[in-house]
Parts: sequence; C-alpha cells; structure tokens
Amino acid sequence: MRLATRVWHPVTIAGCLAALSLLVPLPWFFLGATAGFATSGSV
Amino acid sequence: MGARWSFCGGLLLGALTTAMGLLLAGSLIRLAAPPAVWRWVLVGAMVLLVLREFGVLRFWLPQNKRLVPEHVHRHGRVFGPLQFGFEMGTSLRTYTPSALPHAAALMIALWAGPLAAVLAGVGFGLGRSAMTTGNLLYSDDNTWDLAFIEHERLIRALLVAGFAVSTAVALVF
Repeated sequence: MRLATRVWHPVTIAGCLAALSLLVPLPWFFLGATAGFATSGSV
Repeated sequence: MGARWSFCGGLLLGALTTAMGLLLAGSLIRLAAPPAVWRWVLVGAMVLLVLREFGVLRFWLPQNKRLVPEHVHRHGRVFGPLQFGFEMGTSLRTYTPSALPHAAALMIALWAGPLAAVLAGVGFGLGRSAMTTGNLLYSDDNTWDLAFIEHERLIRALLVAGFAVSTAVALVF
C-alpha cells in the first residue's frame, strides 16, 4: 500500500482528529473539525 | 492545484460565515434563559444527536437537500471553485449525512463566544477540506469514497468520540 494511501485514508484522518481532540486543548476547533469531516461519505 | 486551494478557501469562508450567523442569532435566543439552562439543553440535544448518528434513534433534521449547481464553474478556475466551496462550506446548500454539524451549530448558537465561534468555523471548514484533500491525494479513481463507506461505522465512532470530548470540554470550561 502506498504511503499516501495510508496517510490520507479516511480512517487515518478520523483517527487523527479523534486523537488530537484528546491531546490538544482546542475544543472548539476540534468540535468544528470533527463535525466538518463527518459531512463526508454517503447521504 | 489553484482550483483545489480556492475550493478549500471557499469552504473555510462559508463555514466562518455560518458560524458568525449562528453566533448572532444565538446571542438573541440565549436571552430567553440563563446559561445553566442552556447547558442542560445542549447536553440533552448532544445525547439525542449522537444516538441518531449511530442509528439508535431516527428523527428529521433540517437540511437543504440541494447540490451547488454546475454553473458556478462559469466564474473561472479560481472564483468558480471558491463560490462552490463557499456554498458547500455554509452547509446551507448541501446534503448532510451526519448529525454532528447540527450539534456543532447548536453549540455555537447557544454556548460559544466570538473567538470560540471563529475557531469552530475554521475547524469545520478545515474538516470539510480534509475530505477533498484526502480524496485527491489518496488516489485518482475516487476509491477514497469507497474506503469511507467500507469503514463508515468506525469513522463515525472516532468522529463522535472526538466531538464528544471537545463538546464536554467546551461545556465545562
């Protein structure tokens, strides 16, 4: 699997957002970021 | 490259515009009750929306089920994607497959201060941009969407976990 395919995999992005929400004290930013990324996918 | 950046810039501007609009409207609604009441209203709403996100509950949520029309591209390689991104970023002219944007909107309207609303707006715009960026850098054949659908339950769980932690911290501090 190519590196870009791993790095930009939707699970990797969602996992990074979840982990950063725990580690970085910017709750309002990650509240928005997780909600924004959640708009991806099927309707 | 230029089109992608202007699209993402549009997403950011659109999300910021909605966040500011929600803050303005919410500042009037908040006058109806003290903050302690709004805190519990938000806790209740977050629980309901998270349950909906996992399919435990089913109820209608407002969304404008229309796509941005193709003719925005007539504005050129920079302003076309910018307008496209802006309209998508506002979330007022798009499909919304998740309840988290509604939850974020309630948080901004009923709890955020000006700086918090800006941060949430920027976060929302970048979160949406991550979809476009990820899709383009993952592969050339739209398999990113297939990967998303394949792992949708795990992705939703991760996003809800991050959202829940952020919301709890924002409500407490």
